[in-house]
Formats: sequence, C-alpha cells, structure tokens
Amino acid sequence: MKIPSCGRSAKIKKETYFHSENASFQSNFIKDIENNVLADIEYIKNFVSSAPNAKISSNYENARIVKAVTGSVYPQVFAYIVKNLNREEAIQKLREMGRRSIAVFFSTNPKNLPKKVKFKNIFREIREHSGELYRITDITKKKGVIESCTIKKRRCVFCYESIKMEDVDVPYCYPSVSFHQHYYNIRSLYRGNVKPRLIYIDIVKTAEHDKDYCEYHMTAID
Amino acid sequence: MVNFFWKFLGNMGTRIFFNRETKISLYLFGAMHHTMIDTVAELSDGKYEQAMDILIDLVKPLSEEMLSSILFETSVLGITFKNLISKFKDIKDFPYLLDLTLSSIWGKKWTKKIFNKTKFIPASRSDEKVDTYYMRLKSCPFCYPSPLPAEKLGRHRFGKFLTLTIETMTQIIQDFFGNDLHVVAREIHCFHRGDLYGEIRVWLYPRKNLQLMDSNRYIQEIK
Repeated sequence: MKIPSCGRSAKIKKETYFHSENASFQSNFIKDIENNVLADIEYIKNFVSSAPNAKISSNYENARIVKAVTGSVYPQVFAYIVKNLNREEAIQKLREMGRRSIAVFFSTNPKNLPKKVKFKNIFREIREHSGELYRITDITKKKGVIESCTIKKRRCVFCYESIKMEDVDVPYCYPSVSFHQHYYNIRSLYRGNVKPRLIYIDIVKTAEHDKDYCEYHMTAID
Repeated sequence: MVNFFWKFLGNMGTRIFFNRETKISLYLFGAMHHTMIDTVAELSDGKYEQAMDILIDLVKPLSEEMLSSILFETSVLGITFKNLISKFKDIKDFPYLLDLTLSSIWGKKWTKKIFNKTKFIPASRSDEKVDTYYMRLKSCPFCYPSPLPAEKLGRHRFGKFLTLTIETMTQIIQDFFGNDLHVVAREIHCFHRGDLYGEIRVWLYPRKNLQLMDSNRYIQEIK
C-alpha cells in the first residue's frame, strides 16, 4: 500500500494507510514506528559527543537564532533531496530527517524527557523551541483518550519566510510533521503509561510561502 | 573612529531587530545542522567531505542573498542598517560592525556568551601580511550535538556554515564600502577536533595581490 502524500494545499484522504483493513499491515506499521522510537531512546541514552569541550551549558536552552538565516539553508537542501530521489523516497528521507533531528535534539537537551507528558503541553514545548503558533481543533475522544485531531500551525519552521523552490511538488513540511510525531512518541515511550501511546501525523495542507497556516492530521495508533 | 551616538544607535537597532524577528531554538538548529550533513552524506554514498562540498555549493548563493537583504533592506526606527554601516568605514571599526551584525542574528546576550569580541590584526603585524580579524568561540552549539568523528569531514570543519556566513557578511560589507578586497575565512580551531576553543580567522586580501593567499597555510590545509 502506498504512503498517502499530498500536493500543495490539497486535502488528504481521511482513510490513511494505518486505517487499512489489512490487520498485519497495521501491526507492522505500528511496530516499525515503535522500533524507531525505541532505537532513538537508546541513542539518546548512549549519546557521546565527539566534541565534549564544546559543551553547551544549560543556560543556552533559551538561546535563539533569527529564522531568516535557517530559512535560506533548508529549501536548497530540500530541493537537492527531492531532485535526487523519487517522490516517495524523498518523503521518507525528509521524515527521517525530522526524526533524527529530534533524537539529536534530545541527546543534547534531555532535561524534558522524564517530565510528565500531556498532549497539549507537548505542542507548548515544541512552540517554545520552534517559535511556531498552534491551534488544535476537531478533537475526537474515545473513553477520554484523544483519538484524532487537527493541528493548525502558523509560522512553520520550514514554510514560513522560506524561499520558493520552483518545480518541486513535495510539501516543505515533512521534517516538521515527523519531528512533532517523534517528539510525542519519544516522550511517551520514555515516560511510559501515557495515552495515547503512539501517534501518527500527516500533512493535510501546507502553507509553503504564503503567510497562511499549515494543517496536520494527528491519529492515535496505539 | 565612530562616535558614541552611532554605537548606541547600532546597539539599540540590533536589539529591536532581533526582538521583532521570528526565531528558532539554537538547540533545534544545531540538531538540524547535524541531520542535514548526515542526510546529504547518505545521498553521497557516505562521503562526508563530498557532502560538505555539495552543501556549500547549495547554501552559498542563498546565504549571500539573505545576508544582503538583512544588511541593506532592514530598517529600524526609520534608520536603515545600510545607513548605519556607512558610518563604520574605518577598518579599525570593522570588528565592532561584525559583532553588531552577529548580534542581530544571534541576539546580544547569546553573541556575548558564544563569541569573544572580534580582534583586529593590522597587515604589518599579521603573519599573512594582510589585514586580519579573528573571533574566538567559547562554546559551540553546532559541534556538541555531533557524534561524528572529525576525520570523516576531511579538510572541512564542522562550523563551516558559520564561517561561510561570516565570510559572506564581511565580503558584502567590504564590497559596499567599495574596497577592492577578497575576503577569505577559515575555522582554524574547532572543538570538534579536540581544541579547547573555536577560532574563526578572516583575511582581507587585496584583489591585486591574491598570490599572497598561496603562502597562507590555513587556506591550503582547510577547505
């Protein structure tokens, strides 16, 4: 089964692939995500910096850099990846980039990991780091546990103030959805006893270069 | 030398500029920096040195565009940054201008925590016989998150993109002053290589005398 992907500003099909009736596909998919998260937790626990003298002190956790500087770097790297791979491979690679960024991020800043996890607090934490603005809507619950929701996001790290790349039909946001998803999943599995245990996020709409918002659909998968 | 008024205005302007801009966490940026190098290296069959070459080719033109727009199109309190820069034409004032520009990108507080003040060495005292600036780093948000051994990068240094930003910024400002200089910057000390501090050195070579670059061992050794 194909991984659902969307064109610019296109609404994604509601039946994403983990809603498939194929039970073995579903369980493999969940297992894959879980294994990736567990591998990342292992990486965070065993992380050894190759430059221990460069240790960034805990005072640096509030350090910020102007987004315009990063905005000039990412689109070029993004275009390089997309042009060197086919669409599906490129999406996988971009998702992997987001996942790895979060693993590296937590390995240098593990202070938040043991803290209590609450679904909405996760986005508050991400907002503090990324400078993005969130609104969570269409929350559906089953027995008090969030089953799915829509995340509307302004000032996306990748889309907002980025330079437009021509002839590229893959949303900029894939690393971003992946690092939201893994931020939650890592926190959840590290802490344990969190409901939902694992989530999956996909893009519904991406703002790209205009000052509109990006929209993601979150589904609890375990 | 620039008078107190322009320095005061410069400090205030960079503070306002930094506060009003959208920002992201330095931790997150450091993590993304490492992941980007890793991803491009994977696409280059695990060759990190080649990946750095590719990344530099990709990033350089856009970084020039972005820095030019920050330096020449930004205006704070009705005064353009371009107007402010024109008051720092003296070569001895340039370290202050460089610190000011870095402050507008990293913020005053973090620039002070990461960098020591930029120092100027005149051509008469410099080993390379050209005007030189150097800035020392007390810590580095880019090197620390990396588990990558330094040897894998070959002749590159891990802070290449920071060095590139400083080099481009200096070149743009020198071109604006109408000085016929070719700017070269290298990261000569790097935490990633086991040094106790980082150091970025910027050389201003007169375009008529570019053969002086051949005798600079840092330019020959480091990409």
